[in-house]
Amino acid sequence: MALNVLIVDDSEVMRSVIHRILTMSGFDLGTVLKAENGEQALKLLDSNWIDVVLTDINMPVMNGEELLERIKAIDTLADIPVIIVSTEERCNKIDAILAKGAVGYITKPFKPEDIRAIISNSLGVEPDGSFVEGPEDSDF
Amino acid sequence: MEALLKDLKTAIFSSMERMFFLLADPEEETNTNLTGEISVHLGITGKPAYLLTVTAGRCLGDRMLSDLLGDDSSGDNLDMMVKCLQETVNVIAGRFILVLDNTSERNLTLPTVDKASVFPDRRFESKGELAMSFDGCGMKVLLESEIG
Repeated sequence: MALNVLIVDDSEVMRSVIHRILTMSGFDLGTVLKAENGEQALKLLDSNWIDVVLTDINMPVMNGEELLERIKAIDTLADIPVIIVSTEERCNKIDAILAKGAVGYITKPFKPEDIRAIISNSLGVEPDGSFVEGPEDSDF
Repeated sequence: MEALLKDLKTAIFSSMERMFFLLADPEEETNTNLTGEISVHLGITGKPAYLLTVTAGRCLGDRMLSDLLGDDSSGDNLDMMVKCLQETVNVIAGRFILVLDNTSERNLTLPTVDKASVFPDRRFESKGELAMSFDGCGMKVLLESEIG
């Protein structure tokens, strides 16, 4: 199952790095769209099918926190998993973002295995397309 | 202030290692050559506010860009080197902010090549400068704090 991803970061370098690491993570990537800020991201979400959003926090025009709030407020977008990708490491800030509905948080810089784990857990899908097995799937 | 500079150095070294797998050269082998230098500035809000300036020689800029983007970085691409350094400063500041007083009340400004735009009309004084190199390529970091 090809994964359609939206990468949101004001840094052109970081958008390229995240795309590169996603490619290395083993997921079958479908469409990979990129946006410089939350406002651009919302426009792309309005007209494209996206399976997961990876967003930075600190961006001009509309930051990642506001983007998350706007996504959660729109019925047609609210179920799209949003993963925060940021340099922020302070627990209280991270907890505040997660409380707004982000499904995961990853600190820059990160490796392919970091992004693989967080996307697998968030979407319940492994890179090979199989479903992540939970306790309820066990035979015992 | 010595402790603060030491913490800043730790943040720089750990960021460079994690982002680019670059380890700092030993002090006695530090190469301070910054030929073709590029500088990026970033502010840390709070009391006192800090202004961080990271300057890298072209040698280091080129190395960082190629480590980050692989084959996609071929050619002389100054604009992308600046953007790479901006992201690096962002990561360094993100680590450094954890050790500052009142850390929860502090935020980072967006990295920029325009120093005057970071904290317009506010005055800063130098708190120290660090010189280092990675694989023979020089970097300089200036830490300033707000006066008053």
